[in-house]
Amino acid sequence: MEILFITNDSSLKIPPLEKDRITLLPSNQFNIKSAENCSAIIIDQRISETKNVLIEIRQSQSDIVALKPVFIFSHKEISDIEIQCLADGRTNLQELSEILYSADRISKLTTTLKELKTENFQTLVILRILRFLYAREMQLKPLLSPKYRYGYVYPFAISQFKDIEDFRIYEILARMEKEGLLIGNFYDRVHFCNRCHSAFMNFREICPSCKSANLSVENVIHHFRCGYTAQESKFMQGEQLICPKCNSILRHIGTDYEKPSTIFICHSCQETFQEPLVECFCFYCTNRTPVEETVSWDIKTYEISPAGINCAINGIIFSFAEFLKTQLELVEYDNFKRIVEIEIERKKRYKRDSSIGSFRVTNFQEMYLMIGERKNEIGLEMARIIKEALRTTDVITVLNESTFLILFLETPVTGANTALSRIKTNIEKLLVNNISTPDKKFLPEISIAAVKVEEFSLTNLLPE
Amino acid sequence: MEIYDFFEHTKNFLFFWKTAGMMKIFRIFWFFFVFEITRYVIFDIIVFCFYRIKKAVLRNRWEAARLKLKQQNPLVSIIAPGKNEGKHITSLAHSLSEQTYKNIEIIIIDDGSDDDTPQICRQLLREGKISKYLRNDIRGGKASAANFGLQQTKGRFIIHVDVDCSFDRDAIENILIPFFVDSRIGAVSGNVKVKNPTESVCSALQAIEYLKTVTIGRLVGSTIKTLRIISGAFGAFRKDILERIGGWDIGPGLDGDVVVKIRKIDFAIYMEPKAVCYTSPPENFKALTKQRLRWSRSLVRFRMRKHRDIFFPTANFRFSTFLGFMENMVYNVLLDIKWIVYAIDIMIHFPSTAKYIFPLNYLLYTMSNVVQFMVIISLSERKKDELKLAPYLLLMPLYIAIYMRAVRTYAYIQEFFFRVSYKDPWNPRKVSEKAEELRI
Ligand SMILES: [Zn+2]
Ligand SMILES: [Zn+2]
Ligand SMILES: [Zn+2]
Repeated sequence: MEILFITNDSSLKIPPLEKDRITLLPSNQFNIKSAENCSAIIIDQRISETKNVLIEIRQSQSDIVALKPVFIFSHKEISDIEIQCLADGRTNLQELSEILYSADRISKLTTTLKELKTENFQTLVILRILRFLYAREMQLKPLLSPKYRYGYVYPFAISQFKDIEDFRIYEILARMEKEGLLIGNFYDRVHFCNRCHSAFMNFREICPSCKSANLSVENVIHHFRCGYTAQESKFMQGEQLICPKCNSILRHIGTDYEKPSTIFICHSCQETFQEPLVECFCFYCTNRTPVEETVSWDIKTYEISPAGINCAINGIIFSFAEFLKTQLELVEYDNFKRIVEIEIERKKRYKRDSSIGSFRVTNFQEMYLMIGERKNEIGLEMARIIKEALRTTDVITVLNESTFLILFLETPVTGANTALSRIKTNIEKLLVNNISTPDKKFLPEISIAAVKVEEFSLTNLLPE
Repeated sequence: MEIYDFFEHTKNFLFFWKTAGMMKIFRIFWFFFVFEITRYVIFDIIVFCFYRIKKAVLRNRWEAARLKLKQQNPLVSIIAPGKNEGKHITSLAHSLSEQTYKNIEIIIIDDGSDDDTPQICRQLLREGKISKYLRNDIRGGKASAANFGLQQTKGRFIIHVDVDCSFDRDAIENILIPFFVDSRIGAVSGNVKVKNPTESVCSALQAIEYLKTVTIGRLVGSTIKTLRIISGAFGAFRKDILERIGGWDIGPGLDGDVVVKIRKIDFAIYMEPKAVCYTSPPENFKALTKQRLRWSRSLVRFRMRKHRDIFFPTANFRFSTFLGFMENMVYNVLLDIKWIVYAIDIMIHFPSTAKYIFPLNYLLYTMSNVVQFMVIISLSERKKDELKLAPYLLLMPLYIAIYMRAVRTYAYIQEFFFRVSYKDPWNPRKVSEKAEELRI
């Protein structure tokens, strides 16, 4: 394995390696071409261009270069968050062998990827994220950094942006999850400034009338014998509590008096209130906003889904559900449910025999991995098969990547089952013939079910 | 057959009284002629006429007062203490937001509700429909809640309202004007009427009762300066005076108590019939009985125990206050005992004629009610609506003379001999225990 070591320290003694070769390169001689032919790169953190070199590599037009394993040569932990995000890790002369295995694995996986061309920045970002995750076989875990405006930063994912503090990354990751390319798992919930998205905000209680934070809170005292009820300071006379209304001494809580609540007092405007507003003050842009108006965001860890892997390898974003939506005039699930409810009502009156069927490819993840470049063709064919088996009045919705629900109007369950079986047989044939490769045969697993429309429920239709 | 019977009875009835003669009628119904007619009809009409004349004479002064109110435009704090009144709060806030007088702050005091009051109030607060929402997680009783609210007010005038009330658009404006007519006025009572009066017999009867006791009764009391109560439902106070008397003392009966205290420091109480407020009355006779037992017990507790000093010529003694008290005692306590004596009297002395006596008695009371009702209608701002209550006048003697008297007498006995009010869950236990210990 050819390793490029960018350093200006010529005194470094590289220990001998078995099958790998390390070439030292002074930083002023580095150009992006020199990165192309090596399998991994090590950058000496002591050179002044570390960050620039890293960015240049990661933002390279060429996937091969951008995805290269890059390590930082340093004896200390890396403190710069940007370097942390762009590099694969840290190494030094003693730990050199430890990175070789992972570098080898990354570069092998990278070479199987097809080069992609895209003009669209978002698409580029999405594909690069998928490829980083695929080639590194890793989960995308947010790093916590007090120096980073949003608090949590996603390594690699932000590598394509000019500015590491680009909020679009959060939106892109959320979109990728929605499209089934990533599988998200809740990690933390954060609140961003609604003006600059900064996560560094001061939450404090303020006076609802003058917005000052100069508040104090006091107990409310209720004097039983005279009914006088006011804040504690009105009763305070030295160490004693004396009722200002009836002048008697409050000796015993529970028998003489009680403290039924607390009250806030604003020292700027003397207003009293029990429920202060909670305000957020943004340290970045000095924006002041009520806490309800901050942007609440779920930070997640992400792993790549089978659809995402397919997309990483083949370089094209594809989702069957999305594709079929355009081909079949699918309705949204919520609308589908409403139509079903209406149909149940109508059925009560007109005694019609409508039914609902489900169609599910249970091993769709495997299918996505194998589908390759013919997906559009296969998608079109699938749409044709489904269309042929249904009538124009039937209503279809897609529940997720692999599951379709169909409302068969004025069709009894037996009729629905016939149609579903026809779809199943034809799609099985289509997938077996078109997805299988010479070395691996794809056997689709398709389950179908149908019930009367009034018995509609997901558990009825999709038993585990 | 039945119709024939009815005519026969009527004939007998008329014949009986015709032969009996006026003197005998007076002998049997002396009580009605001496007390009821003079007090509730003749006296009321005279005072009412006096009120109208006075008002007409002083018209310019009232107009000047209205102008002064508008010029000074003082901040008015409306406090509404209550527990578990969630369902009423929105309509209260709504009717207050419609007021012609705009410089108001609305403070809701939640005395330990466990219904949806907090959610409703927070919503109203966000919408700016109320100014402040205060809550005691532990219930302290109505006086404590009102005092807590009073502490947090900023207005020059305080208006105490019940949460289950709603108001005519000019109610706040009208209740404030008397303060600008006479600087000796320390508090003004609003005119409380019953919401949806013709919904049930129970509410219709209460509606007529309120018209009799509040609209006319308090107007008369106010005119002859013996008014002894300001409805908790709708009463306005000068804040400086409320603070001087230390706000509300523990209830029940705190509405009357606060008036006594204001009178004791030499300020006048006024009733403004044009400040109209609608209250939601108890919906059935069971709830009504419970409410009235509590009210009546408080009479004993406050008149005869807490404020005994009114009956004695001390430094604070005022003749009109004394008179008001005496009238209240006589017409409520003594007359209740009297009607038992009266019934026994009839039974002993005129046993065979009881069947003639009671119908005539009923007729006389109904007639006096009709006369009084006509006076009320002449004053009413919604004559047409209130005229619809007229048929229910036929039931009023039953309601007032039998039902109310029975409830009242029972309550007096309970309180006088058994001090029941100290056990009423209307006040939290800890408060009642303290009150009983202190004999207040
Ligand atoms: Zn303030
Ligand atoms: Zn006290
Ligand atoms: Zn900001």
